[in-house]
Amino acid sequence: MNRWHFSVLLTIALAGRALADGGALQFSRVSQGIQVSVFTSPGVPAAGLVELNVLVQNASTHSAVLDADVAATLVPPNGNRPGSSAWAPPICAAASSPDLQDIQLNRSGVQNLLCYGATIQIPHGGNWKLALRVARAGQVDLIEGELRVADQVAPWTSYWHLFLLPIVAVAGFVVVPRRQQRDTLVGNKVRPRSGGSS
Amino acid sequence: MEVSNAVLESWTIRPEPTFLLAVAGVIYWRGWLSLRRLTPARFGGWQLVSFLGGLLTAFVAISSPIDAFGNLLLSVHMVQHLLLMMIAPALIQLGAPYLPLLSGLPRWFTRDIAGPVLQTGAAKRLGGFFTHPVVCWLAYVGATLGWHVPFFYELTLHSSRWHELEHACFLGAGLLFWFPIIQPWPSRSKWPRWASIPYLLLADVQNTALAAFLSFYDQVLYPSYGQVPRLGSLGAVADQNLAGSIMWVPGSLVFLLPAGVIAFQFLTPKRPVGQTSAPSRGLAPRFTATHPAGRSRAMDLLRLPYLGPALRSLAFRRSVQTCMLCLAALIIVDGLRGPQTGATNLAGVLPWVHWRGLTVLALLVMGNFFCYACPFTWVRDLGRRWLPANRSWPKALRSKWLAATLVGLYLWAYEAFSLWNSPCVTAWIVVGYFGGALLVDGFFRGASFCKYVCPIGQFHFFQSWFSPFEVKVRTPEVCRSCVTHDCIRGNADQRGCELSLFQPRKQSNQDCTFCLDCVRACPHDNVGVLAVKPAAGLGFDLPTSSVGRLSNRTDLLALTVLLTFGAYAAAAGMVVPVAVWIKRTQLQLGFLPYPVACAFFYLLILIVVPALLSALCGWLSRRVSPVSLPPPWRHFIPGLAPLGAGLWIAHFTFHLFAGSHTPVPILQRLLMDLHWLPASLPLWAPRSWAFPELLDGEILVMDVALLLSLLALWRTARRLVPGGKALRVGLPWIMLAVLMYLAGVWIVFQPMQMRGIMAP
Repeated sequence: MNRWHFSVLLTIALAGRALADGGALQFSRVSQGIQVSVFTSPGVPAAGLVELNVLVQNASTHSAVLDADVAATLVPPNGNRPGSSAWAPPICAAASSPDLQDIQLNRSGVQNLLCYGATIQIPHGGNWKLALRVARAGQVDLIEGELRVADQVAPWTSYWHLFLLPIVAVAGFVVVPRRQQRDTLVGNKVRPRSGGSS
Repeated sequence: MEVSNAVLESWTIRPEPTFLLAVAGVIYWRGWLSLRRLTPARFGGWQLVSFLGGLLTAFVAISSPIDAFGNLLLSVHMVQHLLLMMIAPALIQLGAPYLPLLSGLPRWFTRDIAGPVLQTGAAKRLGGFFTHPVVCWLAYVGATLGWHVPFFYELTLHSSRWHELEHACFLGAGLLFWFPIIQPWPSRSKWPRWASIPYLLLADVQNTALAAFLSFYDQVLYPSYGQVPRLGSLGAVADQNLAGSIMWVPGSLVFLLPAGVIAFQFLTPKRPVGQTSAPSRGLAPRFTATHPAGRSRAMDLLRLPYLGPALRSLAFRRSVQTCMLCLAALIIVDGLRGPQTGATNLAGVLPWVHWRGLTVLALLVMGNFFCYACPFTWVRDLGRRWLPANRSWPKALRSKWLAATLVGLYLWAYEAFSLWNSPCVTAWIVVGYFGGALLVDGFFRGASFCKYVCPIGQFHFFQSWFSPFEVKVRTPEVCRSCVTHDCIRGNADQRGCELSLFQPRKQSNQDCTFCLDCVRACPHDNVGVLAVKPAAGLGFDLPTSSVGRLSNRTDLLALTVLLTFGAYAAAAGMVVPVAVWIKRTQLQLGFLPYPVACAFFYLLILIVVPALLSALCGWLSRRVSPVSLPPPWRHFIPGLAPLGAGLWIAHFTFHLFAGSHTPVPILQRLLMDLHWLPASLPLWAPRSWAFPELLDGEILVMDVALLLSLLALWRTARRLVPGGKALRVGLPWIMLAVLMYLAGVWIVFQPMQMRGIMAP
């Protein structure tokens, strides 16, 4: 019995992860007095779900511009049509944008509220062209840059630690009672018996 | 929105760490309460405040704007690291967390898991090693210096996984570092108290060296900070210097202040130091001796303030049932009169998305509280005022066969007729339910509808095997001396259990509707809703009141198969590859009507596959068994039930989280239909609680389900074949459980149909 409980304990203990986030800078451009910086999370974008964050700043004062209208378009490598979608956690299918044309980026739901963001689903790896349209006070800026997207690795590899848990737990189920038994035996050998205890 | 507001509002509440911190807080609080009752001098209020403050600090570090701006400003990132290494761990250790956390865990968990593990020689040696001051100091210094090496720091800035690992290292190293300084009770110091002073000063030396380097270095140390856009006028080097100053001044204070306090204590003759730990004699015996012999010490929901009296009160139950009745009425009205698209109608959303999801969550967290809140039985009870309710339920139907047939029909009809997208049919099903409950229980005695007919009830009974609470006798001795047996017979004021469950002989939640009639009827106040080990009896095949042994009940075993394999059929039916396969088969077989193709699919998954697999595993078990076995499937099949329960939980919570906000536009539409709101266009694609980590949770649920299944199968094998051959006998079933686990995981990885949600 104890072995199985130990297994469950391990399962729960190992499942806990301290989370952290923070997109990594992909490129930054200055155009007509504004600086536009593009971040992605994960830092090295791979085919599948990618969080796209764009920071728009006044190029001279570096203050963030919060009233712009920002849209993004992703052009596949070599201008081909995007292929079939890469895998994404099923629950995110409704939340991510399946269309890569004119994706509206907004400041709700992003971690850093100075940024404009959206979750996009990139179908495959390659050097994608990212075109941003930033409109503000009647002025429209078009900014382009390259997004190097890695090919998607097999989805289950991102969850390896969760698949390891039952194995570790079963191993614990086997090992712990043996250790307990051995400890008891060693303890009995070391400790002289005190007769008369009831 | 102004920039300052945007910065201050950049909070991100991530579900996983927030949940873990909240759980840690609740566990500590529970343990602190019980320890405070035993040793009020040892566990004061400040310890609770300190521990919760530590958790809050960690939460702020990883959820507040500090985290959001850490990748833009090194100085902000430094604040985050100081909080995780210096403030949060010190506060947590000041809360003396070890005993409260152990005491706050469920008693069976502490007794059967944590206790034995912590008592092994290996755990003691490991604990001794990691709490040695030299190891603690080296871990802290190693983590600080190591993660500030540009290669590793850059790694964390580009990979969230490495960043998570870094934070975990910082928090862990901080907890180790502060352990010898604070020496949380009941640990004992390995070094004399004065040694804490050089321990702290040496740590400050390395902190100062690194801080000075960052403060005076005139080039950007971490290239990423040289590339990111600057916020305001602070340049990258100035930001780096500021980060160094933060590490230097507040960082040094964190080391020097405790060093000063310890030195002061050491030099004050009347306040001897090094006596932080008192002998723990007396505490352990008091843990075991404070309760009268035989009385259950498990947590009892009915003993909780506010919740307990509310649950016990019949008026409260009627109020909850009335709320559910109103919702059912809304579903019927909207289902019959509203638009006939599932996602725009309450009948397409509330029963199929929210009610099912909340039901499994309630079963997982508490118990069968949706039977407690059942509106059908409320109407039935009203109807009994006029209907005779005096006949006996026919003997031929006193089994689960009728209910099992209805469960099978429901599973098939849901997919074949897209019930989630048929509000009108859903409404008629609800009406039929009311009619069925009224007719059956209006003319027959007892709760025949719940026990023998209701497919929803059977689902709840089945799932509540894994619930952490059970309606149970508090003190068995009281029942032994009881002669009236009001819990089953009832009395003048209160009816007894209508499902014929005799409390002293009840072993699980099977057939228990949580109506709490037995609680109200018991003249000795000896029935409670007690915390139990989930799935405690699984694999032992214990006889239980009114049910008997599971292995003797073919009807219950059939129901178990239906609900276990039905979980796979229902979940697989909504994943794209299976849906495509069904369509293709439909075409290949000469364009069969879809309901017929579905019927083949369900016959295959619910009957053919389980029968073949059970026969194969049973044959293998008998081949290797040294003794003659009873039909193995009768004993091993219940062991697979946790996997079915796990998949139901994963499936229904997926829908709940994906469609969490869907009632909002539907209510808007309903109010507009009633002219209570001005006409406008509801936002049909509202936000939801969807988050990527839900998949982690689903896999984790399947992990736990697999472990419970393996446990049950192992117990069964040991029961049937005592001795060393048990593993061989159980192995075919263990392999089957692993296969089912893999199939379940495959299903949750597949793209799924977003039922009950309008496409954006």
